[in-house]
Amino acid sequence: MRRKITNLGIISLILLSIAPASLVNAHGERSQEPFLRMLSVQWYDTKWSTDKVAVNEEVVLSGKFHLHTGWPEAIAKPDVAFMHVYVPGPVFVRKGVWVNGKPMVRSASYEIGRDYEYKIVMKARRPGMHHLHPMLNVKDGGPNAGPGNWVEITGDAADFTNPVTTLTGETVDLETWGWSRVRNWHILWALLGGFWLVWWLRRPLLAGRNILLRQGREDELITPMDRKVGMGLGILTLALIFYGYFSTIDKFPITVPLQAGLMELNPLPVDEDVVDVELQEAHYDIPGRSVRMTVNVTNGATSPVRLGEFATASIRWLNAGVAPDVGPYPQDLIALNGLEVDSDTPIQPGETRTLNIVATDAAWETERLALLIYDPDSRFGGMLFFYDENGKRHKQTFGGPLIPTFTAI
Amino acid sequence: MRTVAPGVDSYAEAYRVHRAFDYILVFIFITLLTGIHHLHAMLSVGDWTFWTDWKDRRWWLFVIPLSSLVFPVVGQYILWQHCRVPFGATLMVVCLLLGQWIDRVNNFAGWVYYPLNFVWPGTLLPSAIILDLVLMFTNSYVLTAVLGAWSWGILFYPSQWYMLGAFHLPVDYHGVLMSIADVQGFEYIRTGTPEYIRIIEKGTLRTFGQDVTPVSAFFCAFACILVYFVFNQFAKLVASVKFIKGRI
Amino acid sequence: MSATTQAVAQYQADQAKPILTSFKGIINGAHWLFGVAFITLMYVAVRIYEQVFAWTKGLDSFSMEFQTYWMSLFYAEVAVGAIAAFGIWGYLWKTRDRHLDQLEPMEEIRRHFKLLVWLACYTYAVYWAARYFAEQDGAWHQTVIRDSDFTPSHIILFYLSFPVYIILGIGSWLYARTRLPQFAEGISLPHTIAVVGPFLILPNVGLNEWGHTFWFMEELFSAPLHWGFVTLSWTGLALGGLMLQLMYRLIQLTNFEAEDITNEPMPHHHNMVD
Repeated sequence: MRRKITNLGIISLILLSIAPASLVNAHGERSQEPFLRMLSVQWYDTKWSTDKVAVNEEVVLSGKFHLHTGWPEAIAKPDVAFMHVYVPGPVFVRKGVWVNGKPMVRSASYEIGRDYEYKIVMKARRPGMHHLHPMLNVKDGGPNAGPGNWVEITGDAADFTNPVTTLTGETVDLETWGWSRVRNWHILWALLGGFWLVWWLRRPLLAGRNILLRQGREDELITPMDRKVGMGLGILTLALIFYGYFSTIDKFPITVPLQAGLMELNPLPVDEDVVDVELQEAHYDIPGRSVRMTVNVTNGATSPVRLGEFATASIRWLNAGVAPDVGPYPQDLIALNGLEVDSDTPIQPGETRTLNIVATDAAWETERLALLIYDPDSRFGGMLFFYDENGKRHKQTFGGPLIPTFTAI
Repeated sequence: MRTVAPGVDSYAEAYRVHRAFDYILVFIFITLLTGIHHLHAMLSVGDWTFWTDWKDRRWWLFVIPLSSLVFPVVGQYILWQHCRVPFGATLMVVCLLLGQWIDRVNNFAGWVYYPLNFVWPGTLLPSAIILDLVLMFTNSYVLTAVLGAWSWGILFYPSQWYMLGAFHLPVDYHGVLMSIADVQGFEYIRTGTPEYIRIIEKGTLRTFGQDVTPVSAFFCAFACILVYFVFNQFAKLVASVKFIKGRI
Repeated sequence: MSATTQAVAQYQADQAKPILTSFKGIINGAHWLFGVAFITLMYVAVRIYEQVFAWTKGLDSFSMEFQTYWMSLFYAEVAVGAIAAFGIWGYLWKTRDRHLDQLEPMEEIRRHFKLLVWLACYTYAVYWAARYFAEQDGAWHQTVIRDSDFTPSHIILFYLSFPVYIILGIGSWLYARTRLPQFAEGISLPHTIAVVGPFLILPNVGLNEWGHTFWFMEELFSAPLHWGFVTLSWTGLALGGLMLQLMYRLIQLTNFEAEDITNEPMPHHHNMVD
């Protein structure tokens, strides 16, 4: 029925719905200022369980994020934040979200400097190619989208169903549940309201009545018949309101109010085995589209480590040969050989070494991070991932000022 | 004494002019009011009209009647004061609903694909009919404000429950208690509208939890009386027939 | 039988007449139909354009496609809007009636209905702007991330549908000012409010964009940031006052009795207003 009504409306405006959302181009998450994106939510380990599903099938989006300690002043702290997902509207329905293992259907309070692990289950609803991102929305701070990957939905939207079982034992389809009551109630009142308008419109309305009014013949303007009809309409109106109210209480005796309030959430435990990183200086080479960083690294872990990856704003620069296989990840967000390290031998436990790192890729430009030079706060940040020879990973966030270089080096 | 030369010479012609005036005005007012009343409602309380998971016991049933009373008050004043036509409020609400429904069907469902059972508006037609009848029977704005506007507010919630009740069945959702409306809001993704944007009841300060609805409706009805008085005065401004002498 | 009683009797007799014949010849139906059809076709075309290109080309304002499909449309709207505005307003002023003191009453009635056709087109354009595209804007921004001040829905709502009603509203005001004696002698307060108020909605977009840029990236429709639009929407109600001005004048112009049957003041109304 829902679809039927929808179609009627669309036909009424002459085939307005000729093109389904078949191919969605891209996202819009690049709009936020670079320093905000590089210093707020650091997404990592993002995974999509599949890139092709049929209508009614599920995709699982999972991963982790770290809330950067350099959190910009311009955005509110994540004291109230919602673990969200960025897709173009309800092309999927979200069947569940878990953060650190807890169901997260509402907002929660997140701690800066800590890590969180999420799992989002999405059920395919409308066919097409859709970009699917994790997203953390911070109250008064806005959305912060993670990396996005294309997921193709195949099949027919008309086949979609969304059953949910209530605590009163009914299984209802959320696509249509309650709609016939809404529609019938609106039609009923539209008929009564329409009747009252037509009752007066069929007679001279404005000038004619105004003349009689000014001639002192007000009594003729509201006739005894009008009063009778009005009285009948009033009684009918009140009777229908009471009927509607009490019959519904009778039909649905058990109801609950809308649920609200923050959910409880604890961050993931802090890593014990840390590799410390301190930024000494950083330059952005605009013509070369690369960032040169000098960092002091202190290996606090128990085994030697090498730098494998630099990641910020969902873009990953890899030190080939050190970083393990990254798995499926959006190609435009990854620079497989984009990371150069001047002293690439393992850093021994307890050793402090100064590394000169160069991260180069067109992504600085295409993802608009290069526009950092127009930002009011020229800082950047990110995460460094170190690996020991067994593949064990140590991650560390860092950040600080970034100086642009306008001439070719 | 007549001051203006006539442009017609029979009752029949005069009648035709007056009726033509009526009909074009019906068109003008339906299009105008569908537009601006809708704009007013949408940008003052729109979120509560859009989504089932905003239709709560505290804010929805307070802000919707309050905001939606502004236009009916003005409509009643203009039509009753000058022509004794008693359908100002009903006309305003019919125009509002017309606008809302065309839009829900074409845009919310037809363009961004929300199911209609998630995006339906409430209806103030029951309240509007009563408001118009009170003015017609009392022929007094004071009594209409006190009796009519009060009824307008108090009748809102009971006149919606026929539609809303089905959306308040409880659901065990991964171990969290939610109403069906909450589940709709969670599952049918509003990308630009995260959950914390919702302005709904989060509980009372005392043990009045069970009586939230009547308390809110009762306060709303009182506030509606005040709105009626204020916008009845505003109606005088917009119904002015003044010509100002001089140049711009 | 006094004149007033006769008028009333005639009124009651006329109620029985079929409505359509009483329409004929008074309203210029062709103009009305043309205006409504033009606006309808334009907006249906725009809506189809949105359906085809909003999801496919309109999500990322930094992409080339966005520049081609959406920003080009925006520049075209601004250019065509400016030309149409000054063309129409200039024409109305240039062809103004310089001999309003000699206007025949029948012609004045006819011009009242021409003004009403202007107003009908104006309110029809307001209907599309304020209702259709405004709520559509809500549907859009609650669904996608706002990544530019020039989103596909803004490009249509603010820079097409607003200018269209502004052109027609000011057009109606100039028509009355240049062709109807009452409006030429004095400035109609309600007509001015009903045109200037909705016009101010366009400059108020500045507040909206400023707020969305610095404070509010997400979409809360009832946010105080939007209340400028709300207040300005009330000014459209002043068309009620304009309706009354036109009604009182038409009553005078259609009164062919020797005495003015409508000279009586409005009856005292026992209310708080008067």
